[in-house]
Formats: sequence, structure tokens, C-alpha cells
Amino acid sequence: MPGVGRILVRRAIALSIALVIIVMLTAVIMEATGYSTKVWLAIINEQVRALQMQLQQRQVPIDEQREILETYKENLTKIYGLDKPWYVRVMPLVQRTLVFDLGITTKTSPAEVAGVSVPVRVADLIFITLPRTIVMLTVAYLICAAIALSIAPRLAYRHGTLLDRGVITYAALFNAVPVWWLGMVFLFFFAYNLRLVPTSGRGIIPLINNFWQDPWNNFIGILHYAALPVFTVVIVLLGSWLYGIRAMVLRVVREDYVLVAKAKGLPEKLIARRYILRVMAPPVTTYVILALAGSLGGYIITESVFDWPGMGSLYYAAITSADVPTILGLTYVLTLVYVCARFLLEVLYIILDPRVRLG
Amino acid sequence: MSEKRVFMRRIDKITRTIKASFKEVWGYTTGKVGIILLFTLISISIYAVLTMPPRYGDLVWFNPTYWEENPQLVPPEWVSVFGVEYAKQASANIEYPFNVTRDPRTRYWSIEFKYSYELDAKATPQGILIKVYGIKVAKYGDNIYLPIIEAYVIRPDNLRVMLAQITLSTEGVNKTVDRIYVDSPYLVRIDFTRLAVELANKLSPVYNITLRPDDISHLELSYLFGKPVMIGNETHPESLEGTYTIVVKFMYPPFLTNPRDAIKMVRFVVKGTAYGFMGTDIRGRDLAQGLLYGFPVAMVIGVVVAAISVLIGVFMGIISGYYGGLIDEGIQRLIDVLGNIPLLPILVLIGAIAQQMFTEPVQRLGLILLVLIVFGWGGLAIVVRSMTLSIKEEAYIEAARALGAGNRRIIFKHVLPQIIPYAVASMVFSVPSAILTEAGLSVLGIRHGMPTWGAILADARNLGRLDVWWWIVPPGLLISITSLTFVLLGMAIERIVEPRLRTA
Repeated sequence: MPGVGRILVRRAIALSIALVIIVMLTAVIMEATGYSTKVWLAIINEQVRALQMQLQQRQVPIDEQREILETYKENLTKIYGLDKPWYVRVMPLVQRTLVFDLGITTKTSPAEVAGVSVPVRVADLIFITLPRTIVMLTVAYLICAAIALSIAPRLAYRHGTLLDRGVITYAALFNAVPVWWLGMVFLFFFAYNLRLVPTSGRGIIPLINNFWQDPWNNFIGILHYAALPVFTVVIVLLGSWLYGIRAMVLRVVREDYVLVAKAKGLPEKLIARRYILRVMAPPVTTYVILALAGSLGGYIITESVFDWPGMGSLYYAAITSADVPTILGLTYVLTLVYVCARFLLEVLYIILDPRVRLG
Repeated sequence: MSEKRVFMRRIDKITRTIKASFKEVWGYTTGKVGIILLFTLISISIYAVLTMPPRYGDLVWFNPTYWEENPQLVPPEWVSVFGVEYAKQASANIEYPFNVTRDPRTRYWSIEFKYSYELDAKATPQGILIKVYGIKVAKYGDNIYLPIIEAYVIRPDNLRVMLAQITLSTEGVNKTVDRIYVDSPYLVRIDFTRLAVELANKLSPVYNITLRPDDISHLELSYLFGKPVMIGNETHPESLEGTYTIVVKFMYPPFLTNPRDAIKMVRFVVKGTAYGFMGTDIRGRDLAQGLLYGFPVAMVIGVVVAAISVLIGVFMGIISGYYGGLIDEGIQRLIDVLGNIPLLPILVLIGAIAQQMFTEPVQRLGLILLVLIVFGWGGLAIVVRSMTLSIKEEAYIEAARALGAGNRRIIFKHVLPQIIPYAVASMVFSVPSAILTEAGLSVLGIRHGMPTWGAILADARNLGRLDVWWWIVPPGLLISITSLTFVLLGMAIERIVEPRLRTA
């Protein structure tokens, strides 16, 4: 199948180009606007001040102090590359980012999200928090998929009934509600008022980090923390899931071959399994993967509302503490995950849809 | 003349089309609800714009002195419907003293202003504010004198409790000035340490409970507006309903001329425990006001981003589909790259930068909106391109070309009119995304400095006050209702332009 291979290679190249362009764009934005310069200058000044304190404690003469400080500052400026114009600084930054050399952060609030102490490598921060985000979302998506796939086909059979209309209304309503706001409201009800669940997800860090010491209790603990975020995401997502899958089923149910199968007198269950669900596999997979990959970034806000110690909270901490390496690294990794998912989708499509595979 | 008639006819045709589409949209339940909501939103926005003072953000919303008279973090007044009792918010400007007397021995003037506050609920007012405007400077030869100020409260049980006793310092007062604190008032500060001692001394004998000043500290206002009761072994304040008279007394030396005119005005404020229609936030800001002025901002954000990105999408799509070749290839690859970029992370980054680069809120918000537009047109352009491709092959296009019509005429006369319905539907659908994104970015810590619904939510979140329902529920509800409006309208319009969906 040379055709398939060529399609995949072409997509891979396009996606890689997109990835590189994004990283370059990010680097240019940060460097050309003077954003990172400002942050680095602040760090340099801090370090110079620290040295000055040391010198003063050792009672070095003033003139000598000034000289030492000046050379120190010059050195630092050179190390951070601030003596060169921005377009010279961009390329090495892009190169380093692409090979995951994301630098080190000295800010405490991003490190606290991961549950480690500073200084820490940004790559480590991200690889600690990324799985936490994916786990929460995957669980929510699996629940949605299970409910939607079992209910939506039945709705499609009985479209137009009261129940069907109710589901559509629910979908329309929750399409307009931001997940993170519903999260805030649920926090108000279930965490602050009823005290059923914790108000912050931070407590999950020790449970995950020492999971194998007491797996059963830790698992229960994690459930306790994860219940509300997962519940919120499911409530909001379920509407569009039901609506989307119902529409797909409706389209398939009206196909001629389904009618033929019915006319043949095949049992409903068999029709559903063999004639409907099998055909729906590719579009549903697309739906799942695109939604998951595309919204990984979208849950940044939701996660930070719940203080769930994943990438979203890391992002929030990085922004509020102006932590340049972490912001850049997160942007890169999120884009990378998204691009990889897009590629995975292409591959899955070829596997699932015989028309693409054999055509 | 004829040109005018052609123009009129065209206008007539457009209004007829709009009327017809309106009727059709109105025909669906979703459309009906959507239209009603849309008109409500637009009317509120117009009202807000007309009543909004210029530079509202700087001068009002972010100006702490504007809100100093409001109680902080109190619920809306209508909570009383649910049986919650609250102390009323009350204020008055008193221009004339009720009593001007002279001490028979010292010949000192004493000029008194009073204000009565009715406490009619089991609640404690959040505070008392006494502002004095235009204090006359008494002069005697080369010396200047300022009054001694005393403030006290006469309680329903006739106890008199001193709030403050202050001698104004003449230091730095210019001799040529007649009055001080003319524009910005002098704030009489309550001396809480003294108040605790006074309350302990005066309440203990009357209510037969031994109170120490330590018991009262931090609960001064609760005891000022209440009485001590014993619960188990501990004393607790219980609010005492009735009339409280707040009196401010100014004592001037004997040579003061025209004592009735010595003070221009005294403003009394008793901060309640509920405020207005929407309550207040932690800085005492009236949330109803912030929410009201969030309407036009949200509408502008949503509509501007949607309209511009749809315009770009239609333009790029038609160009791409109609002309083909290198232009097509270029545009398609650009859309590919844009479509592969996850939007939110980039927005977060740019928002963080805008926060540092610009100081003007309009610029910061503008940059965020610009990014939304840049990333917003790709999807529509793909659809428009494929539509253009199929329209291009139709026989009537060929006929038009044979008749000598130019590209521009064909595009505007034959291609565009078929695309417009889709463009409108897509625009209506994309309005909420900009509003939601702005709000989300605010909550994530990107500050642009405009009083938007998202910014109000972000304040509550940054201060960790998700337990304050009147602060977090209304802004999100408004965001949701606004997006719901456009979702409903979009659903109705979509059914009209896509007849296949009608049965569903």
C-alpha cells in the first residue's frame, strides 16, 4: 500500500512543520517583545544583589566590590545572551526547546504544583504533571463515552420523543456553560457548603507520589479528590457527546443497508452491533481523539479552578509568577501532544476505515 | 433620479430579506427564545453604554475611594425573601447642626450634628463612617485653632458610647486658609480600643454580666449594636433592635465667629449587611454595576471577533476556491498550520505578554482579540472554499462568463449570495467562543483591566472566595446566557440553511 504510506508521510511532514513554526513563533513572541529580557534582567539583578550581600558580609572594600559586581553582571548578561539582539537569541532557544532542553525554573509556585522543590528542570515539572491531567480527562471521557454510546443509539431510534427533546435541550444548555464556571459553582456547593469533597486538589500530590506504599487507601483517597472534577467535566461534556453520537447514529440508521437488515428480520441487537456501531467506529474515534487532544489545552482553566495539580495549575502558577521557561515549555509540550494526537488519528483512520485503507 | 430608485429598490429588497429570515427564525422555538434573549441583551447593553461614565474602569471600578462607603462582601438585599435578616445600608448628608451651645464656664462653642439609624433586624451593621466636609479654621491674632471632634452613639437603651475623641492637628495648615477638608472629607476614625473599654464599662452594670474589654475586642460593632447574653459560660453579643443616634460634636474656642456655619456638612454612613440587587465584592464594589457594564463589553468582544473572522474566512475561502492554483495552495497550507496550533496555550502566552507590554486595557484586550481573529477564520474558509468549488462549475456561471461578466461580478453576483447564509450561521455560532475565551483567560490570571464578567469571576477566584455565591454565580450565569442566546439562534439559522437537519 504505497498510497497509505505516502499519505502518512505527508501528514507527518505537515504536522512537524506546524510544530516547528509554533515553537519559533513562541520564541519570537517572547524575545522580540522584550518579555523574556525583562524577566531575565530581573533574575540577573536578584543574583547581583545576592552577591553584593555576600561581599558586604565579608567586608570587601567598596571599590573592589563595585568592580567584582560589574564583571559578575557582565558575565551573567553574556550567559543569558542579553548582549545579543533578539533574532540571534531565537534560534538557540528554538533548538533547545525542540530537544526538550527546556531550562530550569527557580520559581517556587510552579514547583509546588508538581510537589518538588526548586530549582527544578522544567521538563521534569511537565512530565510530572502531564499524566495527572491526562488521567483526569481520560477518566471523564471514558465515562462520557460509555454513557453516550449506550444511550445515544436508543435516543436515535426514538428521535422526536420527549426524552429525545429533553436530551437535546440539555445539550444546548450545557453547550453554553463554561466547564470551569460550573466547576466553581460545584465547588461552592459540594466543597464549601456541603463539605463532601475537598476544596483543593493539591492534597492528591502525596497520594500519587507514594501510591505503592498503600495502594488501596491511596486509591480511595484519589477517588475522593478526583470525584468532583471528573463529575463536572462529565456533566458538561455529556450533552454534546449525546447530541453528537445521536446525530451520527441518525445518519447511519437511515442508510439503505440498515433498512435491508431490518427487512431481513435480523434481531435489533445484531443490527446495532454489526451494521451501526461498526460503521460508526471511525467518526466516533475521530470525535474522541480530537476532542481529547484539542481540549487538553482547554482544561487548563478547569484544572486551575479545581487546583488539580496537573498542567493547568502549572500553567496558572507559571503565569502568575512570570516564569518564562515553564510557560514556553508547556506551550511546546501541549502543542506536541496535540500534533501527535492528530497524527495518531490519521493512522487510526486508516486502520478503522476500509475505504481509506483499500481505496 | 433613476439611480436613486435603484438604490431604494435594493434597500427594499434587503429589508424584505431580513424580515423574511427573521420570520423564519421566529418560527422555531429555539429561534424565538434566541431572538427574545438577543433583544434583551442588546437593550441592556445600550442602556449600559448610555449610562456608563467615561473611563469607567479607571475612575470608578478600580478606584477604591469610590467604594469606601459600601459594605464589603455582603449579599444582595433580596436574600431577605429567604428569611435572612440584614441590617440596612443607610446614609445621609447633614448640613445643619441640630444643636449649637456654649459652655457656660469655658465659653467654648459646641456644634452638634446627629443622624438616627433604625436597626430592625437581628444583624450587626458592618461599620460606621463619619465624613466631615469643610472644617472652619478659627483664627485669633496669629494663632489658628481647629475643633476638637467627639463622636458618640446613643443606643436604644439610652446608653451613650463614645466612638472617638480627636483633636485636629494644626500642623501644616496654612494661615490664610479659611476652611480645610473642603473637597475631600476628613474621616473620623473610630477608636476601637477605647470603644471596647467603654462598652465593657457601660454594658456590664446594665445587663448584669461582667464584660472585660478583652471579651469585646474584635466584636466591638456587635456589642455596639447589641447586648451581651450568656450562652453556657460565655458571653455573646445579641443584636439590639431600635434607634441608634450617632452624634458628632465639634468644640471650637470662644472667639469663633458665625458658629452655625463652622462645618459645611457631615456625612453619616452606616454600612449594612446586604447591598443592592447583586451584593458587593471584597472591595465593597457594587456587583450589579460591574455586571451591567460587562454587557456591552461582552457583546463587543463576541460580535467583533465573530464578524471579522467570518469576513476573513469568506474572503479567503472564495479567493482560494475561485482562483485555485498557487493562491489556493498557499491559503490551504496556512490554514493547515493554524489549525494544528492549540489555541489556548498560545493565547495564554500572548495574554501574559500583553500584560507586560501594554498598560491600556483596550490594547491588552485588543491583542487577545486579534489572536482570536487570526486563529478563528480557518474552519469557515475550508467550507467556503469547497462551496465555491462546486458553485464555480455550475452552468449559470459559465453563462455569465460567456456574457462577458468579470470575475468580480461573478463573485459578488453569483457566488457570494449563496455563501452568505452559511457565513451568517457560522458567525452566530462563533460569537460565544470569544466571550468564553476572554472569561477563561481572565480566570486563568491574564488581566486586561476591563471590568468584564470574566474579570469579576477572576477576582473571586484569585482571592479564593469561591464560597461567596453572589460573587461567582451571576457572572457565570450571564456568560452562559449570552452564549446560549447565540447557540439557540445558530441552531435555528442552521436548520434554515441546512434543510437536512429539519427532521431532526
